Amino acid sequence: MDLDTTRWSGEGVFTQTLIDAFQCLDQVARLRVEDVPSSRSDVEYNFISNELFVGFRTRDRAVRAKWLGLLGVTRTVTETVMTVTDLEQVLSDLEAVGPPDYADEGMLQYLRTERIVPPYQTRGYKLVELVRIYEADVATQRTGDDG
Amino acid sequence: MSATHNREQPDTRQTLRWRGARGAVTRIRLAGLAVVCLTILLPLTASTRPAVREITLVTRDMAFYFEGGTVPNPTIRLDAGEEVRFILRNLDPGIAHNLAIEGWELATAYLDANASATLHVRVPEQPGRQVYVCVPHREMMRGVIEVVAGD
Repeated sequence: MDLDTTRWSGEGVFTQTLIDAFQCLDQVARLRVEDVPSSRSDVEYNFISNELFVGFRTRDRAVRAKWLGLLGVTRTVTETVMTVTDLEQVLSDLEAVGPPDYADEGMLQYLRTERIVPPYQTRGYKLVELVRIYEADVATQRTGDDG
Repeated sequence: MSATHNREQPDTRQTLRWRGARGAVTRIRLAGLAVVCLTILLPLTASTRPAVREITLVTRDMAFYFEGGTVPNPTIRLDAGEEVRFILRNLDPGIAHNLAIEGWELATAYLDANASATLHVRVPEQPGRQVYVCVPHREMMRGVIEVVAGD
């Protein structure tokens, strides 16, 4: 799998878990990980937001059609071996990942929250990690960031 | 008959000319009166209350933003006594948000993605500060409303 993390700071334990999971999936050809600008931290929380752009492997499939409605021809259609919906099912079955908190046909979203209490502190802070997974090369809500 | 008619014609023209001049003067006087009336009456018809200000907030990536803004949970400055209509639009898919100004006991309903709600606020006359939050995500989605004395 071709992994591009040049635009990722490396923050996010769950993001790393997802990367590890993708590396075990044959259907995934490439993965790009990016920080989202809205990542921020405060006294009470640390908010990490990452986006993963997944490129699925493709296969060629012969499709029979009629040229001008008369002559039978065979066309070759290139299609991905997996969809975001299929990916949701695969990730849901993984114990380390589980089902997303939100999913639609173009995006999977995981929201992980835990309270971190460093040694010698009583209250600690909340760590929130928001990860969104999109299919690469497909127009997404974040214009210009796909592909 | 025709001679009489000829004699009367110059008088009629003179009368018409005189009437035209008097009509023009009257029209000018009426226009002036209308201007004076409008100058006096228009301010009386205008409301002394200022127009309602609209502030659009969007929620995305677990934060409030001004529409088109990039600063998370921005400070909102309001004039004391003004009327404000907050419009909240949730752009976070899969996460419900709301807008609550608990010090003023105001809150919108929880909004699903792409839903919006409005909150009408009559800002108190006393300057001060209030906190606005998203109730279920108050640790991360929290900003300040500054009420300053109006002009």
